[in-house]
Amino acid sequence: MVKLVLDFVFTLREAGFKISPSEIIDCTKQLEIINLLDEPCFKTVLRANFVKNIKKQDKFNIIYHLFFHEMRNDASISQSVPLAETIDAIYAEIKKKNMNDNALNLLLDFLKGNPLKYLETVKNIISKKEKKDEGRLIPLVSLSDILSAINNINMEVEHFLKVRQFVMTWNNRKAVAGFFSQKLKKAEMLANNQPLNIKKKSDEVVYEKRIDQLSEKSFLSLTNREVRQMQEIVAQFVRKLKDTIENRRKRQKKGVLDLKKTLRNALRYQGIPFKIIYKNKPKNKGKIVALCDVSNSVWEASRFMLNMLYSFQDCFSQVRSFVFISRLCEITKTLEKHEINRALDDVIKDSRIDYNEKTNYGAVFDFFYDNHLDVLNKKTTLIIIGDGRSNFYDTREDIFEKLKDKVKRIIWLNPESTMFWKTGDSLIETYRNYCHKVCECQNLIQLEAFIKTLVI
Amino acid sequence: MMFQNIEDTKIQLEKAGYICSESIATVVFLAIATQKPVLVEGPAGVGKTQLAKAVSQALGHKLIRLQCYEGLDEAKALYEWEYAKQLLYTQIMKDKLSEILAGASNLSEAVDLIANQEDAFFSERFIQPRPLLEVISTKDTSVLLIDEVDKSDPEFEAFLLELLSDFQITIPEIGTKKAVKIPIVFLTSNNYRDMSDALKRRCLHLFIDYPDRELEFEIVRLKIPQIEKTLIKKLINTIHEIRSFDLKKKPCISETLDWAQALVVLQISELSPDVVRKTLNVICKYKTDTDLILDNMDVISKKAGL
Ligand SMILES: Nc1ncnc2c1ncn2[C@@H]1O[C@H](COP(=O)(O)OP(=O)(O)OP(=O)(O)O)[C@@H](O)[C@H]1O
Ligand SMILES: [Mg+2]
Repeated sequence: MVKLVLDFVFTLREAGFKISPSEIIDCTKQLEIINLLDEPCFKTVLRANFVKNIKKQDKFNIIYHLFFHEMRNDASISQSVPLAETIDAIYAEIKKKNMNDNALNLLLDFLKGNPLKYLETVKNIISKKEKKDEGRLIPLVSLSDILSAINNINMEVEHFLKVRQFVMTWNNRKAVAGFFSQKLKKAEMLANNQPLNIKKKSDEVVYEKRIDQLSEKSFLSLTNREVRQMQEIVAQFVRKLKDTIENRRKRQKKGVLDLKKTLRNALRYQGIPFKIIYKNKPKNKGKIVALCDVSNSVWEASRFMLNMLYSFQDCFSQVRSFVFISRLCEITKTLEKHEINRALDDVIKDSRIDYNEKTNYGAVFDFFYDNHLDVLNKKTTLIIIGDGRSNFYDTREDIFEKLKDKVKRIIWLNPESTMFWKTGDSLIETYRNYCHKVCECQNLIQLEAFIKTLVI
Repeated sequence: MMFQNIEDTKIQLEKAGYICSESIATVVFLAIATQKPVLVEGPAGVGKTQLAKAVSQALGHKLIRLQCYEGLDEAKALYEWEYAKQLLYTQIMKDKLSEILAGASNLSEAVDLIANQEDAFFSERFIQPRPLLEVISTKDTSVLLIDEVDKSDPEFEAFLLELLSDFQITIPEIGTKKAVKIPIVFLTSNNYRDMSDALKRRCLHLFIDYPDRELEFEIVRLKIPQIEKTLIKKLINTIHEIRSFDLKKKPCISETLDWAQALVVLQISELSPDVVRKTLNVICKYKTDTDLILDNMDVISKKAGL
């Protein structure tokens, strides 16, 4: 029993689960008091001890199924001594002949009971197929590689057994052949994406899993549904960060004893300091002005940035926001009126924005300089979010430089990958000279990192 | 008292008004049998807090509850010196103190003399016990519910670790106190913040998800016995359909119960799409959610068989 649990833990660890020895000990202790024949109960015990992260429940279920259902029924044979040797000999033979075949090596690992790498590969192949995602590197191992490797192994096994026709008894040969064909069939099914009757995952778990993926996904490729889910992720991030900020503040506040006030208060009690009073530090203040490109290519990034900025409004003395495509308009009022996500929906419907025009950074900076200079001062952080693609209009560098002198710092967030910054009509390299910082801000993770540096 | 086995756990909890799934019963039984704390996680309103209450009721143990919040510190969770009381005593006993100090010829001697009396002031008399000290001091087994532990600060979590491994605490001026009986501990979390690995390692993990139809049916029947069975079925089908939407806040068990209660009060015995529309505000707490459901009412009523 202990061995079985250990094997399972090993598989889980391979898959990235962190499991400590104490948890294994707890688990084995508990398995002693339950009825081992009751499988749901058995599974519950393993889960309660080994999966302490809700997001991983799903992964656990799959591995559990593979380990105890898909791989178990043939474990008995590969472990019965004489046949195990034969099987190992076959592995060695195949490996010798096809040293460098990636697909084949993956399959061999799979057969030997280390299915993870194979599963990972298959998963990648399948998801690529579904997304029809061009422009990415072609996976090292393709579906046809796998299928041909399966075929290869089948032939090798057949050959191997034929050679030993008079060395091994017929039923042993049959057992070995059965072992391979059964497992290979499974491998093939997996590769062809036929579900291994694993129970359908509950919505919740799938959702949790998606959070990780979504955070890394580029803003440029989000679907509407994903935008809604992202809002929730953002909300969670905001809550956490607010906690951190609040904690810091509290600690700062606690810092120093306010002797004067404490003594004055003590006078009321004949000089006995019943109440101890600490000094409060003033809030860290600064003004934020955000200029957001809302042309199609950048809107999602702008939206989440604005969302976060407004969530942290009380960390700054003031937040003013403007959006632009070819012309600038202020949206501070709109954003303050409603709940932030709703307000952002209103922003895109704003009649002042003409979506048919082309982005023109030069004209926008010019207009901003002429009409809104009063919003800037030396305590202002000017954040510009945009891809810097100005359709070959004039850059108005001179104006941009003047803006720089009016503020504390300019930070430019670019939702485009750094790879493309020097290509086409991108002006980011020109403006970079006047910015204090230019960051790539392609996905939520990068945006979160930026906001953190801003508010902490 | 203890639960005999998993089956017994289920029955006893049901008697205490809590219907639990197989896995809940298993984890609870094992946690108590092996004296491990349970970390209960899951969406809001699936009965995490209720579970601890039911266990305490079923076993006849006292429930001691520590509600966590941001800024909760050791002093508020464990014990506090009653500073004001100490001062008051000092004031009242001024004369006595002068008597003691009478023999002193200089300041340092006086300090020594006062130091000899320290024990009188740092004794249990001046300690105000908070939930955790209470747990350690009670003679019988108690059920300790550390509710919404995810809301507490990381430092507090570190402090809990120490407590949960040894069940003993040290009050510097008095000494170390060890729990007479190891309490049954439940920690609940809404996943507001991820708990540390160290804390998780010490606990059994229980994830309570929204209940399946059968379980929820039983819960409603237990809590609101006067309602018709067919009505419950329809109600639960509808709730499950509604949960399948991407809502800001999905309706939880307590909302199902509220809804059922509302129908009983309104003396409605047949759930029609119209009734759902009119009573939707009981289960959806956000305007956007309500709108989304209203927009999809046709699909929902069809799938739920209204
Ligand atoms: N299995 C159950 N059996 C009986 N009643 C239940 C069950 N689950 C939930 N309830 C009911 O649901 C209500 C909400 O449960 P509870 O307050 O414990 O939720 P919670 O998970 O602690 O929520 P939160 O995360 O908001 O604190 C309880 O009042 C209880 O009546
Ligand atoms: Mg609760």
